[in-house]
Amino acid sequence: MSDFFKSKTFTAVLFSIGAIVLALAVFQLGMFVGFRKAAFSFRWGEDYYRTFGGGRKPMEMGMKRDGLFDSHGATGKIIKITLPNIFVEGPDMAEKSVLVGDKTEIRRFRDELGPSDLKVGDFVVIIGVPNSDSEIEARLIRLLPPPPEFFPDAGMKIK
Amino acid sequence: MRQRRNRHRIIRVIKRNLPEREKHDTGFLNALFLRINKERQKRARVRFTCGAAVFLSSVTAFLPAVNLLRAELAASGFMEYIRLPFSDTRLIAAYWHEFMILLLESMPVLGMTAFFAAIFALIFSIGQMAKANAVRKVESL
Repeated sequence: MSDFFKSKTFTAVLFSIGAIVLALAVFQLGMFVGFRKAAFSFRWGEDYYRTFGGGRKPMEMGMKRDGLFDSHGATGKIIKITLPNIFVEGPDMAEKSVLVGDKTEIRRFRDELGPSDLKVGDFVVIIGVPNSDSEIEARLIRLLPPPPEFFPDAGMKIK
Repeated sequence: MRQRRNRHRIIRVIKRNLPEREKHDTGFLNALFLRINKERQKRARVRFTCGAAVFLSSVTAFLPAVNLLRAELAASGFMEYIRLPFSDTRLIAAYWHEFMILLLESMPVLGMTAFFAAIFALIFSIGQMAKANAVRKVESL
């Protein structure tokens, strides 16, 4: 019996089970993240007209390669400010609505700013939580200088 | 030198298990070891050729994989998010759950897979060619 536990067969069985467990865990993590992205993207598409009015339809925009948007943050240029909402356009050409609340911290370098200090054209990186209105409730908004090759593959340049 | 030690061990095992008559037949032993040597050389040549083919393929695929990763990193905003812990450590620690999900959502999985697959194929093929070359050098001594 003890010889079996020292044998290569036992080691192979153990590693196989470990590999299966790891694969299942990674698969579950993928499903968890994918579900959140899909749910947010679905609500975003449903609310597009309500948020942005007429004009471009969601399908005419440059969607991300997988057709889904990040739901817990945004990065890009501010294109519209109607407090408490700001609208950010990312390198994937998607416009996200961000809710600036009382808990939101706005930073530029070491300075703390207020919502009124935000301007159209500012480059921001945002972390937040999605809500049922396909908005991202911002927890942190960091203003940064725009990267040198912002939007290199979408063909857009920040002036 | 491990190749030479292994070869001596194989020779000892073969000699130990041969019938008594063949143990003292020098001609037979020489023919046996020559045949083994020939087979090992052939396998080393095949391994080297396959390694070289994989090496060339991985070198060809490396640049497109790098470009794909660059494009996906630019489109996803992943690099901007990954820099946040360095500037806002306290806040990221407070909202670590949202930050982790954001990193997972924005991670350019396809680009990273292509890039690391190319790196793996490159390193693996170099290792195979080096091992095959070592066998060929030892056997020819």
